[in-house]
Amino acid sequence: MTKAEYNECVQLHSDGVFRYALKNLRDKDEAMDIVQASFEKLWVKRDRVEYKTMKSYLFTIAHNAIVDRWRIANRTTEMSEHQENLQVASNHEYKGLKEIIEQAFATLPSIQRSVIMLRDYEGYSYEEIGEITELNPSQVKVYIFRGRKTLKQFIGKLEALV
Amino acid sequence: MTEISEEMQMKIFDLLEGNLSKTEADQILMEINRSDVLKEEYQLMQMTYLPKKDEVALPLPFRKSLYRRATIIPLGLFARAAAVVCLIGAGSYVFYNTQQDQIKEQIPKQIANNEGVKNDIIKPIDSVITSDEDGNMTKSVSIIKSKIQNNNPNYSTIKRKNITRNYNDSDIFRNVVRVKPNANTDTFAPVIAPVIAGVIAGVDVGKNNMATNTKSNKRSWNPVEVILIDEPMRDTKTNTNSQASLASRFFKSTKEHIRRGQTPDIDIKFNRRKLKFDFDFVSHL
Repeated sequence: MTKAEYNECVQLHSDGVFRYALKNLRDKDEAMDIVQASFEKLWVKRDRVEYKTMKSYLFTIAHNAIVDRWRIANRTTEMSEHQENLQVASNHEYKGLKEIIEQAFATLPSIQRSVIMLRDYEGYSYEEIGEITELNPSQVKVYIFRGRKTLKQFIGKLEALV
Repeated sequence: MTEISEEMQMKIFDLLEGNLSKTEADQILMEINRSDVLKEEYQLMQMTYLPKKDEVALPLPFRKSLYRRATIIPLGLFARAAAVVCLIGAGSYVFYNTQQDQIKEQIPKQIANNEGVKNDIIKPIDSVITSDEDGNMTKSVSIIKSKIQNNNPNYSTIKRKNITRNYNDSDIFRNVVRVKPNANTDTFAPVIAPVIAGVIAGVDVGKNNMATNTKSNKRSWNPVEVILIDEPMRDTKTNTNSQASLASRFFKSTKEHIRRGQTPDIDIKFNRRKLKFDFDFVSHL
């Protein structure tokens, strides 16, 4: 990968990586750290990365960095937080579909958030998502399905309230 | 609210994900259209898709920091100083060359227009003073001999030309080239001839009295016969003198010779090692 291709990669995918990190970590500074580290690694290994695969490579680096952050955090806390978020979110007044989805999305388990984002935002196939997240395509599909089901239930509840 | 089976939910999911063939998709859609519950399920599931266009974007300064740009070496102090030196050097070179050209143009004009002495003739004589005539010289010194004869008894008007006043010593020898050596002389003669020329050019000769080349009969400075004799450099008092004082003493002695009606017989010496010129009057006053 040449310098020009690297710069093109920054141009095209830096926002995507940032969004992916931000929605997973829900911390702007941490998300920027992830972006910085990801592009730094991409630059260092630019000789081994081909232009076609640079986006996947970039998201893989970012995902691994995010997973490292998850591991540092307490998983039990995350689960209880998930339940709390669901209750808090359901008490919020109706604002708009986008905000509702974002609220609900924030309550999903990390891996479900990741695969749904890679699917919806970046348009990756199950196989590609599997490569990035080190899951097989079937697992990816199941995680996406479960995530959507949770989101659907959340939206359904609010609609019932309204 | 009627419960929908897991299988049906998965079918709707596959439909929305684009995992079904057209036939399968059409079949599911027909089922959905027939049931309000399935229709609601389908619509809710549709809402779970995140919008592709999201307003999340990196802060611009941070994003700029990610780009890799070409390395630009700043023009440091050293480079600037070097550039200034180059400019000054180039300017000086042009100025020096211009000055030299002007000098070269001025000298012939000044010599040609010099009317200070009308009646004097100083011209190199045709006869050659050979080394045989100077038997007392040793063989390892470079000695150039020239002979200047004044045919005009009105010697008192001979004086040094003013034009040399404007130039430094080296200019006299470098630029006032008026004497050509004979072709049959030593190869060193062309080198030393300008020196002799410089000395002679210091002598004021009138425009009308310019020496005539006896061979070509053209109005020009005659060639001065120069003979190079390899003899050791004698340690004379004039060795360490400047070229200006050398020239001054040359004219003074020449003038005195002419005043007495004698032919000045001069040895001009060149010290190759020190690159210095010197002269001795062989003929004694």
